[in-house]
Amino acid sequence: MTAVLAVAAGGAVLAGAVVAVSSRDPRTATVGLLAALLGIVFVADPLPAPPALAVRLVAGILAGYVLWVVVRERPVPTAGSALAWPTEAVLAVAGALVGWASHGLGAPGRGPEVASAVGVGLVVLAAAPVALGGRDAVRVGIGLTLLLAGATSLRVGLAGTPGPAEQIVLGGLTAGLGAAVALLIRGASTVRGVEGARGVQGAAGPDPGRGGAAVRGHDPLDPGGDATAP
Amino acid sequence: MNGLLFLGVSVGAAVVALLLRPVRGAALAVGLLGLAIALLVASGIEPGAGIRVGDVALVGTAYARLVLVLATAAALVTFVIGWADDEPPSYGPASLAVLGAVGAALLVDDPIVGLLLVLAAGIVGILVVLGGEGASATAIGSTVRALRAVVVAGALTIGAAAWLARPLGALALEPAVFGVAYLGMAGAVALRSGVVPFHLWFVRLADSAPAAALPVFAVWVPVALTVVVLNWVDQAIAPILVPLETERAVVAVVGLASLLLGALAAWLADDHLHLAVYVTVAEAGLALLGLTVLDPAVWQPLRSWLVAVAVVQTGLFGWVAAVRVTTGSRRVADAGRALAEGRPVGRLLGLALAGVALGAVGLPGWSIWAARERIAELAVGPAGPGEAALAILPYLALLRPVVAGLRGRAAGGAARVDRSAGRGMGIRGGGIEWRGRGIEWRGRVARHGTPRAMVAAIRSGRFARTVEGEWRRNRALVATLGALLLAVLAVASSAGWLGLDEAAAGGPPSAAEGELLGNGLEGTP
Repeated sequence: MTAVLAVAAGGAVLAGAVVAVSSRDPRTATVGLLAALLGIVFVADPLPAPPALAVRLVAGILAGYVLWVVVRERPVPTAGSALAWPTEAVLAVAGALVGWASHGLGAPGRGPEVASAVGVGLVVLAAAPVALGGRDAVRVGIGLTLLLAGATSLRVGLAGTPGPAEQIVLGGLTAGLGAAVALLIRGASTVRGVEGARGVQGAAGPDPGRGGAAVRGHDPLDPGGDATAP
Repeated sequence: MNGLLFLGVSVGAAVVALLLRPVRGAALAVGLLGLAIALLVASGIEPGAGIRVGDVALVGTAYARLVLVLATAAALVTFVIGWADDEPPSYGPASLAVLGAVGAALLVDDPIVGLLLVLAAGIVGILVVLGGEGASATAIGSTVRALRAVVVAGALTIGAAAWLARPLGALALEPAVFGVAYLGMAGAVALRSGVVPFHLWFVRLADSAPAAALPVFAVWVPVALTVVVLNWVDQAIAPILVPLETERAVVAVVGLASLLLGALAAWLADDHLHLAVYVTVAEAGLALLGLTVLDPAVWQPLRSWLVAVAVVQTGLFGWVAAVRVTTGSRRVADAGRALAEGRPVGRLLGLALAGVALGAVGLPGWSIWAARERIAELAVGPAGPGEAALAILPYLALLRPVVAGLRGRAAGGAARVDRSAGRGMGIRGGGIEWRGRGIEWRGRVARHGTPRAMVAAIRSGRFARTVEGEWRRNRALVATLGALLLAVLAVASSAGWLGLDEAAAGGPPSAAEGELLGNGLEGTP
């Protein structure tokens, strides 16, 4: 029964993640992200203890809610995926198959195969927004949230269901990351309006706003502003 | 027990102060008070005493106590400096939350939970960086980069820890299996510390974030990460006795490159905030070199050195913020002029810089000196002590403001800071005047001396205006004294006067040795 639930939840997680990374409407993307964050809690065998499960669910709802509060009233379009959703879906499925097939990575994993599958699928989906999202706060934020979810799912697949304390910390991480991303999106939309949120015209230079202008003199390790480097 | 109390105080005060954020004065007061109480609670952490929380335990250690006391004291002083620099009040409570997560990470007996807590500290630290309302587009872009570095590093630590947490079976005989996990963990430290070539997010962030807030996010959290990773290496990698020569060589090359290039960039930077950033980047390279040593002998020197250097770097960022309050400029040349003017605040800034430099380099026999030599010796072999000199290369850049000041004095005689651009009032007026201001401040308060006059002054708002006016007039002095205090703290840490070496020699938090309290708080020794 738990295994079936885990597989169903895994499917929902990947579907939500595809919507989250593909959509150009941040509200739709937020709904997809929320589905992924709620579903990922059930991708485990055995399931976490009820209190830990509740903490993770509340944390996921909280993360989705703060994002929703920010995006529902503000025009914060995001670039979305350049590949469109069918390609993202194919990538997710391919990643999931690789994860399923390589479950345990040469040794018996302590968790279910579906956790490894979902983990690899999420990491594959998150790779482009995280690496190429530039300063698009919505896209990078969604990518980072999915990356964290993917890493924790891989952890479940390899090392088994985390204990209660780790579950609580993971819940805090999810909610905290959601809040941080929401703050970033709010800041981007407030400061620069639509262009600020997309980040494509964000000033790459130093910020003169805090205690005088930065000095752009000899700085051999700073090649200047670029949109994608970490 | 006090560990949990520290967590409660720091997170509780952070939440209250954030709720009070619209009322600037109240938020500042709660932030200040919260940091002060957290400092007291941290100093009361008892080594060996702990409490069980679910399947983990929070166990006090002398090392965690010292780190938390120093980090909280440093955060308290930098908070005051930031206040003088007109930074938004929200970063005080955010610093508290970060310190709470750092504290939990250092006290928890499970390194994997500790790694997650450090990740949480980094994410909460984004609040420090954003600094509340009014962040610019550049600040948003920089913060996106920083968040990316934090989360990617966190994902790496989760993956690396899980990699070895599975039942390895026959794979346990393959050194490469451990090498992958080791590289993942070292990569996370490199990314999170801003080691070259992962330094750009840090440099960009420094342009947008409050200088006084940077140490909490960019110095103390990476230090906590390195300490927890060291715990993990000690438990998961070192006992296996696999040499991992290739992996360690890769990490050593990155660390050495960061040390040298960071030192070079610090020397060439015209912006003293960038100077401080590159010094931090260079020192992170040495921390990475320390992680290449899988010998347990590196445990004490590396842990000792990490804390001493964190205090020194906090002192450096505090000095940078104080210079900015005083001169309103970020140019190294302007800092040099402020030092060369010979006015009291300039002299105090010079003294603070000298203290930071002394703390950074140390003297033979000091804790930081011995730790640096030992790390270098273990990392590169018997020729180590010679190579240890490399570690002080970044601090040569601290001579830049001094050289600029001397050059300005020689060239212009009475070269002075452009006061019209200054945000602070501190160097205006000279020593007699600032002393006079102190007297004047007391005189003004005395003017409201009788209870009736005091009540009338408070009601009319005159008292508040007086205090506000005096604060604004003296904020450069306050920031400079804060920087001086941090410099004293740096010297005391580096010299080992605070018992750093003894604390660092202790083991990681261990539930087996602790006198634990259960969830019901009943004593179960």
